[in-house]
Amino acid sequence: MEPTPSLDEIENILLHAIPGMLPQASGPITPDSDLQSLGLDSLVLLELIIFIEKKFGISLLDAPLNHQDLENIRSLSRHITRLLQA
Amino acid sequence: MNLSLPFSRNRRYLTGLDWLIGVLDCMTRQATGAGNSSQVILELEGRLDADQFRDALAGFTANFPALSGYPSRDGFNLAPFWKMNGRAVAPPCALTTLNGDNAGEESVALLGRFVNTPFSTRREHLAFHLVHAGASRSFLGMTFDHLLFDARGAELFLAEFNAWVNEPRPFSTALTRPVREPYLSCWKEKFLAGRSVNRALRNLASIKAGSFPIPEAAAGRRAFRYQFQQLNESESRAVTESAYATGGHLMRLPYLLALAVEAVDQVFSGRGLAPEHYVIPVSIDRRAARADSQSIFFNQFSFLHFVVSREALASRERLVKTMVSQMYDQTKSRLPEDFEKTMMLIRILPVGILASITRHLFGGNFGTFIFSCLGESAYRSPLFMGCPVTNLLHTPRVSTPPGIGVFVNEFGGRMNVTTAYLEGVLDDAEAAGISARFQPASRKPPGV
Repeated sequence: MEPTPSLDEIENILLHAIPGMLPQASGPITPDSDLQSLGLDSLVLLELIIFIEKKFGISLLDAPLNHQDLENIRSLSRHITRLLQA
Repeated sequence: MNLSLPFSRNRRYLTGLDWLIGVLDCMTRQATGAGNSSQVILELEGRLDADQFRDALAGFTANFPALSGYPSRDGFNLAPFWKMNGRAVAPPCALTTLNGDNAGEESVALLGRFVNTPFSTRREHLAFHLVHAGASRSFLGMTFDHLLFDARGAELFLAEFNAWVNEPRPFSTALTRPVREPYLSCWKEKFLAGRSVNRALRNLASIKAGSFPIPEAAAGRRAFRYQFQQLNESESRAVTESAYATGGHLMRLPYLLALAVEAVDQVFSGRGLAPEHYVIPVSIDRRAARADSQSIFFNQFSFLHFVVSREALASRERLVKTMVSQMYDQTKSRLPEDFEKTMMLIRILPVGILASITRHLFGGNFGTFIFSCLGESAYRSPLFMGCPVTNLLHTPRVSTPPGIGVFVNEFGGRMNVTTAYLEGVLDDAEAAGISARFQPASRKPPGV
């Protein structure tokens, strides 16, 4: 069984994946960039959810993400860590 | 192996979706006498100077040969392309002056009529209409051929024009000559995508979806009409909050689609009908997926298809959850991407033949209505040639059948809902009822 990734590793994975999903992200995205102002909408969110489900083997559709979870990559990584540890 | 052969810089090979738009254009022309064109309207404070605008437009459009192009077909590989020869001719711009207390409403109604006027030649794809409404308001309508732009592309074109007027500059060749190779490769991938799309479309075709009868064209011509609902900032915020509370954070598209389905269901109920299913094709912008958010010309969208059963209409919450779940399933199975790839395969057939095949496959029923949620406008400047922009509206002619569409766009945090319908498909009160459903004060759960 693969070891649970650390918070830093999750942040890194998302930092590489998310820029390709966001249309208005012209500059570099940091762990603190506001995802919604970069164009995160329902369609991109579903793509992101599917990516996270595949990558980390957790289900997010039944445990919906709230505003705080989706603020930026750091908060999303924390949420994923919590789900992985549950 | 991805083989790329050299091709002329005067050609922009059309994608399968561009070709699909051509098919829808052909079907709409046969049913209504005019094609699948659309219009974006800028509502301005002050009087936009018509002569100044025409001069600037002539200077700007001369940079874009694509504007006077036309579809053609490669004799060697049979792929259709957009021929871009020579300088673009400046699009026409008519001026109308209206006075009186209702000049604003009359202006929008007038522009709604302009969009129904067919383009005069095969090389004309753009026409402007400026309306001076009293002394202090103007409405600028840009009617465009859907083969040349999609709605987001039209907004980006106006934004580019305004930026150029403020600071004239040379354009990059990538912008002025949007060439594209024919993509005659990856056949296996396209055929596999085609298999999954074929399965999905056959499933859809087997559903007997509620639809409105299309009236026989009167002397070959029928016009589209429009009913608008403009929400202010706080109303728009209230709708967004309800969407997030019902469907989950950011789930605005499924919520707005649910409102549209409820509203259309009410129209059916008003006619004493209760169809078992509704099928709704929803166009989605694919610029993000191509990492090409500024692409102006041609069509950059794909489709999701939603099926709503009567049971799902039992409560709004259930309806929204159904929408979210179907959106999730289609995104996961990569249906929008597969749809794009599959459409590349159909380009070999002429649009007239494809229109007949499509009609045969779906038995003339192409869903209940078309829905699109454009989100915040790509036209971001508060000014247009010095005039403050107060709103931006879209008045599309909807592909027919189904001849009815519900469109949501946003400008400056304010939502606009437009119900577009072919004359005779709905009456004005029914269409106004659909748009009004989005007003928070009049939002009611089904059955109330």
